[in-house]
Amino acid sequence: MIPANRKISAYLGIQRADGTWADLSHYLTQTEVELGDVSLVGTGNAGVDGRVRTLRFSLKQEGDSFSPRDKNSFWNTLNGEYSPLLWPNRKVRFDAIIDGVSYRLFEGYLGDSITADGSCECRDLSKRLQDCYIEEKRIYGSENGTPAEDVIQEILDDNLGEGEVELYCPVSPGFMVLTYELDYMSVWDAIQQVAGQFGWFLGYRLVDGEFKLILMEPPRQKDTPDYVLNYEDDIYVQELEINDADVRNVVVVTYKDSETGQRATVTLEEETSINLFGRRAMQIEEADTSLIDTEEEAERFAQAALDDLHDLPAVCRIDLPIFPQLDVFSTIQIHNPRISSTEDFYAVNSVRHTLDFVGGKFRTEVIAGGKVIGGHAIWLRKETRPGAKEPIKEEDIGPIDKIENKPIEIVDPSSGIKYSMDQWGFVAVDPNTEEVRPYVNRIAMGEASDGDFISLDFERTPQVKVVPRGLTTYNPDYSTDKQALRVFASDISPEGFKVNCKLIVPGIETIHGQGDNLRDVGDYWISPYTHPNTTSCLVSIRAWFRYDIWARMYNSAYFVYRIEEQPLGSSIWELVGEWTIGSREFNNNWLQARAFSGAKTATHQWDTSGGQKRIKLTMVDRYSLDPGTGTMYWGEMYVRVNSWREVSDFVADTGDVSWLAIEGGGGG
Amino acid sequence: MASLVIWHKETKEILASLIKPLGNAPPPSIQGSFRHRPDLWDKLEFAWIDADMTTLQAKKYLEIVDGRPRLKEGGLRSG
Repeated sequence: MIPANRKISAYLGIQRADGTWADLSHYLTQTEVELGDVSLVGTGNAGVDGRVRTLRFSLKQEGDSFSPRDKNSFWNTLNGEYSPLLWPNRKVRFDAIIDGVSYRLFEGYLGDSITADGSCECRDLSKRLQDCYIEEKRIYGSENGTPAEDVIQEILDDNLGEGEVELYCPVSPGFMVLTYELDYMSVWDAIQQVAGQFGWFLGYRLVDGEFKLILMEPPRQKDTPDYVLNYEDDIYVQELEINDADVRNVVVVTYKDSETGQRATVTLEEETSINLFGRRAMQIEEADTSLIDTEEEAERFAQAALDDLHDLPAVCRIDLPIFPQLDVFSTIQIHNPRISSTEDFYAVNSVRHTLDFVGGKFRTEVIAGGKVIGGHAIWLRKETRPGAKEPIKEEDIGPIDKIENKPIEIVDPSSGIKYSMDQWGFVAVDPNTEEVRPYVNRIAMGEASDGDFISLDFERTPQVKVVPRGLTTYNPDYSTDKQALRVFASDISPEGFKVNCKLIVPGIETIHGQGDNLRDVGDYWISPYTHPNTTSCLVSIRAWFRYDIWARMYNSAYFVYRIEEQPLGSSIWELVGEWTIGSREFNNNWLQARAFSGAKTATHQWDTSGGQKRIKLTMVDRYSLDPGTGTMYWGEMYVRVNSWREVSDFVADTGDVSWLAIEGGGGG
Repeated sequence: MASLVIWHKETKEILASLIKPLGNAPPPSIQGSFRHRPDLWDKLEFAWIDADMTTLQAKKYLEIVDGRPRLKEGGLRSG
């Protein structure tokens, strides 16, 4: 029973850059903490599938502004320095306080959305793991098998630092991982891939008052209620929907047995469900590279899928007064004669807590099913779809060489020198001295002046060298000043590069931090004004990409962005340039989709006449060259100014250079 | 032809003079050399000249007369 009269308040804390916490509880107007999709019954990702908790909150504007760009606001000042409070990756904690008892509902990071009016979206502590991309291929497991929990901890340590994130695994799953190579993906996807092999829950849950990354078996056999709810005063709304479309009571798992080297099949059935709903079979084809490679592991995998799918999926949406104790895997018994003549048992699959201090609405909404499950959509995504042909097996394509990004290698028997060629270029390696002799793919050279853009139209980013061939090295007009040569190539990309060749009197260099993430066409960000005597700007751009790639296909994402500058007092934005930044990847796996995420960077340098200016970055367009070849996560992709520099060097003279550009040769 | 001289149609200001590179780079063009300023493309004019001349040299020694680049009076001298 939930008491009718309760005193409800909340705590919202945001960690500042120096580690101290700012208490924003007084400014809170509305919050929502959500795990899984509670908007619909029986569809979408359940909390047991999604495993990532989100927090949305709104703050009232009272006194100083929460806008991160307001440098005069109390909230954005720390020890006299500008340090915005609402800023990506600031830690956030949220507690519901009911009758003086505090319930921690969320701990995570800001960053998914921060608006000037103080509305924010946050992800739980998994954000750090999702944002960390594995850049180096590594081998995990061992020939005799390494416990899955150790493999997960190794992945965390290798990519986030030793002991930075501790896995909490109260009971070992007993799943041994044989040697496998971990390909490029986010840390979160990599550890979920391991846990997904035996159907356990891996995510952040509250353990002893603290959110921990826990690997646990969903309590599938749990049949006693944690809480008893009564229709008379506990339930505002209870909707019931029965849909048997996702019931599966026969699970067939095909895998490659590591001992025999042959593909084998395990079939499990659930008789009670077959009698109730008829025979509903699903087939799961595990790739040869799957971590499931023994009969025992395949059986366990099939059993987990069967346990989660043999009964009706989430059938009930319940709306009740705020009840912070409820989380996924909680079990409840409901007495509601308007829906059922019996006292029914439910297990929570998804949950959302809403505290609306303006509207006076304090609710908990749950999607619940008849039993505890460890996943729903995650299993159905693994199913071999009806109507699809059986996946091609390796033996079917045995006579054909696999198309892989493997180098072609030839060894000269007389010298032992190994010549290898791949898509990146051609190199020879001397085995005696380990000397690497790179060969170039393209080469170009010429002469040019300061400020020229040299067009190359290469396929890969070249190495560029410039040397002055006509530049004054000393200007007697500035004999009392220090003078320096600035000769370099900037804006280097496969398209070309820009020549810089100047004699300068050094001024002051000021470095600024990152701008807003631009996700949609038309989004823009404007910098503060530069100092009055700025003579050049250098902007570093970062773009983040995330998309899936279906088997044997390319997928891509591109952003077109524009940089403009505006003099102080003018309403006109002058174009600096328009560029394209993108990512295109190929999935060379025959059976499985590939998840790609990664960053690309670019720098742009330009000279500017005196006077104060400000810079504007606008997203002009975004597109894929390969539509329909995988899910695009446009909501997570962005382009932004990562940092920018203004320099007040005085240009005493400009000159010419000789330049050399090389593609390949170990240079990219 | 050795260099591509590019100037602004209205102001006649020489903006670039690009010597044809050696190797695998394409010959210079307005679109290639002002790749990131498509707003300028239809405002620019170009002509090939026989001499190897960088932008700084062209600005110093050439002027645009009757839609063509030519040596300034008393400009380029040898020796």
